Amino acid sequence: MAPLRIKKPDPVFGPRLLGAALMGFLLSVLSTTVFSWWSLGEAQVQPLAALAVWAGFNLPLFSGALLVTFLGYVVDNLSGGIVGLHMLVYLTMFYACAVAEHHLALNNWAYQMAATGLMSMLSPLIIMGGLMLASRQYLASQDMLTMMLLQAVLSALFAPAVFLALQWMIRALQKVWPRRQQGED
Amino acid sequence: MDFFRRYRFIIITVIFLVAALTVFSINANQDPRETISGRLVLELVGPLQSLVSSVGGFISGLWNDYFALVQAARQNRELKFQLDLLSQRMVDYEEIKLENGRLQKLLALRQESDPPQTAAQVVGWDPSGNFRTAIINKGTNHGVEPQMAVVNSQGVVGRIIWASPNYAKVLLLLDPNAAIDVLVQRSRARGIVEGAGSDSLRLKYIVRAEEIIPGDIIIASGDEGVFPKGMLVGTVRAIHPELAVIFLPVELAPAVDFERLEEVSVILRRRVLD
Repeated sequence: MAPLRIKKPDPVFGPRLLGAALMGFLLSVLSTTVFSWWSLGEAQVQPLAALAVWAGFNLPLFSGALLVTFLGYVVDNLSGGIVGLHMLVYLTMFYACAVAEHHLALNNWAYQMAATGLMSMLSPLIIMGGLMLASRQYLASQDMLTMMLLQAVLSALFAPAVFLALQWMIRALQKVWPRRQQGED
Repeated sequence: MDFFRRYRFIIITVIFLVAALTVFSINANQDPRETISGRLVLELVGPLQSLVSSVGGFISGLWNDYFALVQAARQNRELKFQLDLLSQRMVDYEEIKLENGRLQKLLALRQESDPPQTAAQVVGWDPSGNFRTAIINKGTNHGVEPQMAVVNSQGVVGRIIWASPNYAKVLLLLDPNAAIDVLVQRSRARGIVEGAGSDSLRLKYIVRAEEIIPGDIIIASGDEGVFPKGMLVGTVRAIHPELAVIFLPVELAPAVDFERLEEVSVILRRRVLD
């Protein structure tokens, strides 16, 4: 595998990271309330998958990984799974997108939407694998493939709303962010 | 230093993935535990969940009330008719209850007093959709502790898996990792009920020879010391004798409408382990 380029210092790094963290917290709350009420059968919009994908395409490696790990930890504590499971899921999503961004320079919204759909299909597979390894039972429906596809489409279609909200939040933070503070991890 | 710069991506990736795998491996082999950081997450997210749930409840309440008014008159007539029937039945039950009390005294059976309960509201659900858990707005400050039973007026809801000071996480009966010891009310056959998805339960370990029919009522046996004996769990929806080897695969409809679960009661009695 060829060595990867390191990104140049980013002047809006701070607002982007803080914006993503705040959005992550907000989406965690909404995922346990609004999005669980609006689920289509067992298929549920995965806004946090969209955030992990966005982080993979837009945040530096270390800070992005730290953010999605934290996000995974929050979700693990709110859900009934094993602590560490969603950390793994979001890290996998993040690194898959980071690799795509570094190697293939796929970073427009259309690719990010497609990536969100793909990653929200990957997520139940990782969870299923993790639960099987831990000898726990998984809630597999008879039409799991249909549900995964439906969830992927829902999540991909919803992704632009997450990206727009993120953009809005970052712009708002930029206005109040101290001008001197710039940096990268 | 050059090595780190050259392979920075791979090194950071491996460090994070190994760290996540380690956390997962440590937690995989043990029951859910309360950690300080876990409690902090629940305490931070809980108030916002309560707020969003209240707003959502208010809006859906307005909407439902409108439709409820439209149908209220017709339902009122039907309910009055049912009330008349049930009033007569209540008299019969009261008679049976008194008789039962007299017989229990005769047999000198210990009458267990009703355990204390606390009412709670469901403020959140599993964020991933992969598990069947709920978060309620009562925690250790209100006497709620892990393993306590969660019920509502319809029947068994689930059990507490862990609690923070003001919130607690409930493993719903629908989750495949939830199980409860039960009885078939009519035949007194014993079995175990497990969660099987969005609106279904599975009754296991009912031997082929047992007589069980669709519509049979399934109740908690009370043997495991968590759920009160006689609490409604569900009704038999379908039986699949063609799939039976030793035990009959039985599908149940849960007694509780989990789609509309808003208020629950926590029975403030812990299971006493030997």
